[in-house]
Amino acid sequence: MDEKQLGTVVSNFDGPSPSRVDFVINNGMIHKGMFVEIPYSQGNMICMVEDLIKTNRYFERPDSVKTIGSEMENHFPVADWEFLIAKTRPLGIFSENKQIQRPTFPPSPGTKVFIAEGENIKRFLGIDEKGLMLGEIPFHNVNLKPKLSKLLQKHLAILATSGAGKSFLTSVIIEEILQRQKEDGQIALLLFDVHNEYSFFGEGVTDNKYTDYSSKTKIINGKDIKFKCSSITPSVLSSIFPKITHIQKREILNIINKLKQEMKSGAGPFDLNKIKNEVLNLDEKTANPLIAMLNEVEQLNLFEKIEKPSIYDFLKQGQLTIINLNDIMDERKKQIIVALVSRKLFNLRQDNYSKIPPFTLIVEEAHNFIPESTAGERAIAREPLTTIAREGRKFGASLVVISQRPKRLSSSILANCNTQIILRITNPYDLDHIKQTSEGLDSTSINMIPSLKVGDALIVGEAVNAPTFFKVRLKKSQNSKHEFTLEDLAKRFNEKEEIVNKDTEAYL
Amino acid sequence: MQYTNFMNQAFEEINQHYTKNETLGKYLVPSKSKLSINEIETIVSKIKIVKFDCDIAGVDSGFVSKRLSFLDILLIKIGAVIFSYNDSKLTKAEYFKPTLFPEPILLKNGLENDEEEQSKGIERLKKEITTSIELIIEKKPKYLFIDGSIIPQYQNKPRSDSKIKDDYESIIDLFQKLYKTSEENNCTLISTVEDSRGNRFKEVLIDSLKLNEEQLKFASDSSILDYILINGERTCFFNYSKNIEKHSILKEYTKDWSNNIYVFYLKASNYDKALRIEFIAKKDIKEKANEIASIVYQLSSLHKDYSYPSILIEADMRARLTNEEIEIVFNKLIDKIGPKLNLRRGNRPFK
Repeated sequence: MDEKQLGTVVSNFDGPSPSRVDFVINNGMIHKGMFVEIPYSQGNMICMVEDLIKTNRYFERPDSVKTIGSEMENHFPVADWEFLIAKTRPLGIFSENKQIQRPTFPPSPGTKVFIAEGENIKRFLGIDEKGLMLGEIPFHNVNLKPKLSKLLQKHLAILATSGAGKSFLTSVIIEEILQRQKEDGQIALLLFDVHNEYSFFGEGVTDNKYTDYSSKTKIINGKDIKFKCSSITPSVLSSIFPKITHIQKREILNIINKLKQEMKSGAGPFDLNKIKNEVLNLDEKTANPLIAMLNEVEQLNLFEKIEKPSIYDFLKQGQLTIINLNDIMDERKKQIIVALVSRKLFNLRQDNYSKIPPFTLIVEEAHNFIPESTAGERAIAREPLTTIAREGRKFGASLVVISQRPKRLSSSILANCNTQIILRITNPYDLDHIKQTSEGLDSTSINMIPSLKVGDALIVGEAVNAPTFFKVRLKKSQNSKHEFTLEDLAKRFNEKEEIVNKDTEAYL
Repeated sequence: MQYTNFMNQAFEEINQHYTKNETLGKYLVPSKSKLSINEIETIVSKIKIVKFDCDIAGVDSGFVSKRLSFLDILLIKIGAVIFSYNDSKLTKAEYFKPTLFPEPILLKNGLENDEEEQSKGIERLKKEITTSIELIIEKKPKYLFIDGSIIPQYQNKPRSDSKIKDDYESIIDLFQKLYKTSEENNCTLISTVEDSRGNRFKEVLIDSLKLNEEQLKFASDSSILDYILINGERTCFFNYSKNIEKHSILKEYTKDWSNNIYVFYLKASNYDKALRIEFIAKKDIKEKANEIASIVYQLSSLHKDYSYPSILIEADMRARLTNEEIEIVFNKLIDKIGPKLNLRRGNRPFK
């Protein structure tokens, strides 16, 4: 503990109790979100300052304050009556040899309160020196370095309003994973980049103040991805066409199995036309709708004889693979890519651990891929991603879901994300949804979320033993060259227009 | 119906009371600054404000008590404050012998009900006056404010055969010691009474202006003065008692003090009642009254609805006790001695 006493526990209506300890500040500074330590019968009680209240009896009555106004200080020792009360929530008790225990008994009123020591905070939160350096816990000079497995193995949700720093934080997490050494355990990352926000990872660095991650980054353009036709399973079709009948599914399964068998017998890979030909052999009532579906699938231009690139080439330990979906306009096509890639990768981890490395899928705009409601084509990727969220832990397949509309994100997914990092969110519906789906969040922390500054974050769940506010560290990677301000976009439009006008004039 | 009758009757009485006071006010106000009743001052005069640079002290006490099965506990907390002023502005606040916890006192056994209450008042006064004496000696303030009257009150005086008679007599001695100490240290004692029901000013008016006593039967000084004084005015000073020899408290004083205790009222805010001021002066009484009025006015005229010296507001806040504080002491006693200490009603096992 810091040798300097910060305050003294007071007795009031709310406590001290095992869930609430308030203290008056004797000296020093204190801030909301800080950790304090209180000597306790079984060790040290760690508490988080949830609120700070200044009181002054001389200013309690508005009528007197208004009447006397600035004269108050000329007549009363008002400064002597100003008290700073810190309202804290006990988080746990720990001693040198014991595990962290839940507080079950209050400290006595009059107990001294100290600022928690950095080492104790680290020990209490479970910070790992080899963990991912996400930022700094304010006022304590302690780096927030959650253990990789605790942060990611049971999935992570990053939730924030637009512009609050989701992509920035995601970049920091990616950097940390890419920087890991083999001996610390490296995983593979696959990022579904909906708005081309992360391609800078794959671009060389000209300014040496940035770290170059291009050698560890592979960018796949979503338009170039082709799946082999044997991927068109009944479940794929039913996710694209929710109204497909059981008979239609059975028939297509039979056809695909037959063609796969022929392929193994030496007939080689098959294409959509081959499937269609087989379908045409069915009775008209079954064939016609199936042909219509296959025509639609064909228009997506996603399925060919051979898969490109090979699913085995998607992932590599210590490497980031970005699937750029920015150029794909068709929402359904994006959904299918996310769904099929996720399913295939998870199946590979399930089938045999050695086929592909343990991986983390980073899903931007997750509310579009894993929505709360099952809205037809908008939910094609929901099932495979939900499966990973539910079963991925034991197979080394994890998810990072990123969303600016938590309310629209599947509550099942949110509940399965054992760690959540929340940046500024102001929408009350989103906050309410987070509160309902996050076990570790209390109402005070929820109330603090709307007032977070850009770059301030709250981490809660498996990765830390208590909800912790932190400041996201600065990025080491370069800034995106593909992100423009509204002013830049307007100027670029003007420039293009001028060129067109000049060309037109020259032509005329 | 019963309540309607009561309300009507109460309203009627209060209305009559106001009407009489208003009538007296209308009669007196035009000449209040010309008529004289003590040959030195007019009935009402304007307070002359003089800026001050000095130390002013204030002492107040708070107490709570708890009745147990065979004894009572009393907790007393003294608030003794010294304010330093420069150009009438507070520059420093100091607290004399500040205590975090109140002092617990066990009251005497076997007291009658009236004695119990008197005993509590006496114990409180003892602490208050002792502290005031110590403060004057150690800190030498120019003025010392006492919350309440400058002499013990009737309700503090026990019966002649009371078990607490000695305690009461010690209080009389202590008060006189306080006067002497303040005189020796050039400290002016000022007492202010927050809610006075005094009638002395009314007596003075009746005697000197030959007013109809019956007409003012239910009026008190402060209710009459509500119609006479305006903000920034004070009444003339007058003796504490019309007949000192017969005054139940003052007759126990030495004449040196009993003859030199004076009272006046002043109005320090637009909408609050007049404030009763008591002081001791052996000479230049008018000048002392003016000096005190100036100080009290400047310390009390901060709020339009409430006038009381800021030094005593602070002392009161420092001395304030809550029932929870006595519960802590009480619970510790119960822990050690057991629940038999509690009153039977406190042990009732039902709600």
